[in-house]
Order: sequence, then structure tokens, then C-alpha cells
Amino acid sequence: MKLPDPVQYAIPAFVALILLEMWLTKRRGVGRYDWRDAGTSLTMGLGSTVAGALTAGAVLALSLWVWEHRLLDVPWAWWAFALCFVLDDLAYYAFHRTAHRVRWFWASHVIHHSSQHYNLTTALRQTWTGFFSLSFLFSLPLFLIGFPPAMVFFCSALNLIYQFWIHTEQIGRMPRWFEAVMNTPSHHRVHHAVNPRYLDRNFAGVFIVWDKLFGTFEAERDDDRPRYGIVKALPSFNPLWAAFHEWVAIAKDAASARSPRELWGRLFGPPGWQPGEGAETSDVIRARWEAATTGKEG
Amino acid sequence: MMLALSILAVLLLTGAVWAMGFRGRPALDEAAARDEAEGRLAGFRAGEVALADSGRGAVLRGLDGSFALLLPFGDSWLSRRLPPETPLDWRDGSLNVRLAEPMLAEAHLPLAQPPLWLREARP
Repeated sequence: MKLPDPVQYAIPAFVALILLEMWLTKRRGVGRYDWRDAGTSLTMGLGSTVAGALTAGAVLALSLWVWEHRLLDVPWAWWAFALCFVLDDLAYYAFHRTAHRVRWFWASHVIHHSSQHYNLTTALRQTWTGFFSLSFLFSLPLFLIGFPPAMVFFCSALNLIYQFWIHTEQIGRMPRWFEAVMNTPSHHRVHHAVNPRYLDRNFAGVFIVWDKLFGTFEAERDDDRPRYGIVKALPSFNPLWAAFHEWVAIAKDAASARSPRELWGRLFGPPGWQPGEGAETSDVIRARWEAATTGKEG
Repeated sequence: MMLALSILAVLLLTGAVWAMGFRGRPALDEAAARDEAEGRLAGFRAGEVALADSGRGAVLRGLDGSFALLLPFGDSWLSRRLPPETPLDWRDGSLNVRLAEPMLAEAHLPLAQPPLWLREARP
């Protein structure tokens, strides 16, 4: 069965919503835009599309090969689509959590977090090196189960489209029942924040329930407004530097590693890991913040 | 053709952001500098603050003796924490700090009149 690419149909809506958000930002004074930052984000989005097109054939071939060795024959039925959508979102959660906890995957994903702004153009700031980092591996179990590749790609596209609208400061909180189940602008603002309380939280794509199930949920607080970006903000708007800076850093660190254990940590340890003292991982930063906060209160 | 249209769309949208006036370069005051440094640098507790000329950046000394550097970046700030032993070189109305980062080898903060604590912190 041939399915349409929903992202192609969504692009005009993306553009219209960005224009609307800009107007609202100006009118309400809520949220922020900067032309240099937005230009970088949009360029990253375009580059990501080109990179995706160049590697789509290889990903499709691998998907079909795995599917040929499937365990079950999942039919083209409405319930199969629904199940595929939910399981694809679970696979996304696994990928996303790994992308924040393993430097090899972070090197590719960091691009999406490299803006200090949080608006709809940030949603389009996507990786150019997803194929190189092997992020497609996380979808392979779905093909092995027996979901047809076209169905999985269709659900992944819907997942991607869903995640567009949550990259905004124009929406405060959604109704309580919605916030309880779905990923929302509020939940995802937490995810993009560098506040120690919010680091490595809310990895969900569509359903926030995964974070609640696996202990990575953090609610947005009014007394701790999110500050967006990465711990060490990029000092450049250059899209090429945004796309490759962490890979450059990995290569340098790997070249100077003094033992196999250090090499492993530099490649696959958490971002900010280094041997001995001086690590700047999310856990270390959170612990330091907690110690300082306790000291302040004491 | 699609690629050309996409590039045009990127340019038009970026131009629209610029045309709507989102091209500001804000200035810091002392409270904003403290807020930015403490908010961005986990565990940093600001003591003294020295604002760059026209508020286009700041250097702060923390209660633990470390420094925080705030550098202008678009409409935002780049924040870097520096250990207490970092040499802060003030010459010709500019504070110069060696950061040795790939895209930020050195930082220069225009500072015509550094406060006493900053003069004392010089190498």
C-alpha cells in the first residue's frame, strides 16, 4: 500500500503558524524571536530535509530487509495503524532518551537544542547527521515485529508533525486531562530548558505518559521559568558549526583518549563526561545545583 | 526546483522575522546580569558585577571566587564560568579573556572603567 507523506502536506501550515506566532510574539510580548537565530533554525531544517532525502534509500532498504524477517504479519487495519502509532512513539521515547544520555547520539541531536529561543522555528532546527549516528536503529524492532515499513514511516511522520506545535511559548497550559496524557508546549518547554531541575526530563514525543511511566517527568513550574538551549551555548549562528560542532569535539576527545575506557566514555558516556574530576554531565550539574540551593536555604 | 523554492522560503521567512523588528541587541543592568549568570550557570552565586560599556555584557565574581562572563550573542547572552585563577587582562578599555574554544578563542568586553575588585583580580 502506498501512503502519502503527511509532512509535505503540513509544510504550508508550518509556514502559516510561524507567521502567526511571530505576530503574536510582537503583539503580546510573550516569547522571543531573533532573525539570526530563526535563520539558522530554518537553514538547519532545510539541510535536514536534504540529508534525509540522501539517506532515505538506505534506511528504506534496511527496513525492508528487517521486515522480510518479521515475526508476525501485521495487517493493514485501523487498529494496526493505532498500535503502530503508539509503539512508534514508545520507540521515539527510547531514541530520544538515549540521544540525551549517550554522547554519540547527542552529537546528532544537540542541533535541535542549540537555540536559546523556543519558538516554532526551533521545531525545524533538525539534525543533518541522524543517519551517521544510526538513530534509525530504534525503529527496527517495529519492522521485526511485522509492521509494514510504509505504515511505520507514515506514523513517524504524524509523530513529527505533532511535535511541531508544542515548540511555542504562546500556549501556557492545555486542559488538565490533555496535559496528563499528551505532550504539550508546557511539558516540552521543560525538555528544552537548561535549568538544573529540568535537565534530561520529558523525552516524550506525543504521549507524556512514557515519562511518567519511566520516571523522567518534570512539570513546568511558574517559579522556575525555563531558560532554553544547551549548557554551553554555541557562540555562532553558523549552521555548519551547529551541525558538526559536537562531532568535532568527539573526534578531538577520541584522539586524545589515554585508555580504551576513556575512549569508550568519550564516545558513549553521557554528554559532559570526562575521566576523573571535572565532569559536567546533567547529573553532576543537578547535584551541584541542589547543593547550592540547600546552602542558600540554609 | 524544490530546493531552490525551499531556499527562497527560508530567506523570505528570515527576512520576515527581521522586518517585524526581531533584531534587537538588548543591554544588561546589574539585576539582569545576576539573573542571567545565576540562571545559566548551575551553582553560581553572584557577588560583584561589572557591566560592560552600554550594558553589552558583564563579568561577575561569584561568592566562591569564580567568575562568570556574559557576552552578547544576537538578542541573547553567552555565559561562561571561569575558575578563580583565570587571568582577567584589562587593557586599553577592554577586558580580555582567553577562552580557547574553537569558535571563541578570546572574549573582549568593552570596559572603560573597571571597578576596584576587577582591577585587583588582574594578573
